[in-house]
Amino acid sequence: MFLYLPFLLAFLTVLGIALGWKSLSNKLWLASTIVTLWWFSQTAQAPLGFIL
Amino acid sequence: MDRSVVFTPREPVLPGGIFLNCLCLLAISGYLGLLLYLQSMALLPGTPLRQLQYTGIILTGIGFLRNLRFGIKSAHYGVALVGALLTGLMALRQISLEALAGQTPTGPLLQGMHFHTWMALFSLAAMLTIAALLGVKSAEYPATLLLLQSAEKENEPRRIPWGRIGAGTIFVLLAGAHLVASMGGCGRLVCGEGLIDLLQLHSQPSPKP
Repeated sequence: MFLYLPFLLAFLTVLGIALGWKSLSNKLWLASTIVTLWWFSQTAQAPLGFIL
Repeated sequence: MDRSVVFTPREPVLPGGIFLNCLCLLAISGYLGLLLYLQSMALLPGTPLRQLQYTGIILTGIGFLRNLRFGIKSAHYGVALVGALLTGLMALRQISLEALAGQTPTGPLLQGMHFHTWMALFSLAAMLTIAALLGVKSAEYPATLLLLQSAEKENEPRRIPWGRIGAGTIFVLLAGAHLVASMGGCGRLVCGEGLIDLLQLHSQPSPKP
């Protein structure tokens, strides 16, 4: 439940790419994207504010 | 070995592609730096939805960084595209919560536009740029051919790619700075408390027609 988790994962991904860890950085990127999407999905529980 | 029957001799990676990717990464780093500056000067309050947009920008830059580090590939442009899509999605969500007719958006203006608008424009520009870069991308050769070509060019002195290293380092540092800035607003245990409520910004009721 930490907001900085997406940042942490994204930073580790960037670091992994810079160090040349291809496979690990792939997994970290996927984790980072999923965590970001998960946090964002929480906003979809509120009404959008406009008629679709 | 004569491979001209099988392959049309071309440079495996067009130097222009690397240069353009460097430029894109520097542009993203510049935008991240500007956001960091505004955040540190307390001009741009770091709401959770905004912070998620910053993550989206970093995810966009990751695609370009992969191009610079591992060679230009369509898959890496896909990574950048996913990041741009995420940023755009979150910017549109923020616009729907803060900036519809009858609402008063907060935050500073840049060139007469709020930053949620700039975020949406950033994602659109990133998608257009990726489409253009895919258009000028060179063919993807198998790794064995690249190895053969590098073995044949043994006598050529290898240059250190300072441009790539510099652009990558700036991006890594800015991603780290954003991580530190996001942790700055958190205590050891209370970070994320009431986050769901914060994510669901209370929108003003829209005026009835």
